Amino acid sequence: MAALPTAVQISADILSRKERADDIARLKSMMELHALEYVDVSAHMELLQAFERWPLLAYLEAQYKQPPLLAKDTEQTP
Amino acid sequence: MISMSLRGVRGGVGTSSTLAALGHALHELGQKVLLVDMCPENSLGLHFNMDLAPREGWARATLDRQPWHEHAWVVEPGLCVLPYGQLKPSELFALDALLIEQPKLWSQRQAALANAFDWILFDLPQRLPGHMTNPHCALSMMVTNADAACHVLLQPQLTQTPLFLVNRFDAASQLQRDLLLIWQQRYAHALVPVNLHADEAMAEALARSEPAGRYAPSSLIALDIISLASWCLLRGRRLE
Repeated sequence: MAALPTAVQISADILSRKERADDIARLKSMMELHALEYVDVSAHMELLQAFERWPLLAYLEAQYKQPPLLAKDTEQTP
Repeated sequence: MISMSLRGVRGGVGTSSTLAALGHALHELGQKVLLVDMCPENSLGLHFNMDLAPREGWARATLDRQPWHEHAWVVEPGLCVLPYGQLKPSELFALDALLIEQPKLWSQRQAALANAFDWILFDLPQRLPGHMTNPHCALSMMVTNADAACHVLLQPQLTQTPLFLVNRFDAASQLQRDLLLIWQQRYAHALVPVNLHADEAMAEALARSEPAGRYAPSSLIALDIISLASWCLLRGRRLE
């Protein structure tokens, strides 16, 4: 078996498994645009619509985003 | 040998049915599998045409200081079920206290079984801390359904069990699709990448005293379970 020739070879070892499965991560690696801030707008919109549809899910999301009270206390101690 | 546990994020999400089907699928893939019933309901064996709530089992034997390993049932060569046994409610709490007092009890037993099995699967109960924490498992999964109640319970429990598996997924449901999207965004690292779909064959399988893969080998759920078993094999190889 031989490796198929491609214009840019990406070593599977460099990228994590998640990145290998992620087309955007592959593209960023191939084009050496590591600093590119890519936002998947359609996925983000779907998520916002989901929170609009289900108020409890939006409420819980807001709760989880608040830092836990215990952590706050420990931060205040020098 | 790899130890794995399944526990429902709450009751009624299909944990025991999933465990029975997964044990059967791993066995079909050539693995030697032991299923251990850690639940006082003592009913895991029903998935394999065993008696309802057998008197003898590991819990009964442990309290009676009898050999615990003599009560396993051989479903077929390489596939065994170890029942819980019958306990009175008062005995149940005594056993849970004993399991907390002796945190290595099950690890020693797991080590003793290591040569006989490739996989030991534990069906964990909901609210018995000793039972839940005593077996030391390289793979521990929580079973959830894509509903709001599971979503509420999921976040706090992920600190204990960092992997979760979606059961009874119905892609036709807007709410379930939305919840899965949120989980994929929020808990990408913890979500097992195989969803088990809602399938009547899973419910029918128990009513026939069989695991899903034997009752309906070509059903959607049986194929999902084979995917899950294959994922477990790959994951297990990385752990060994």
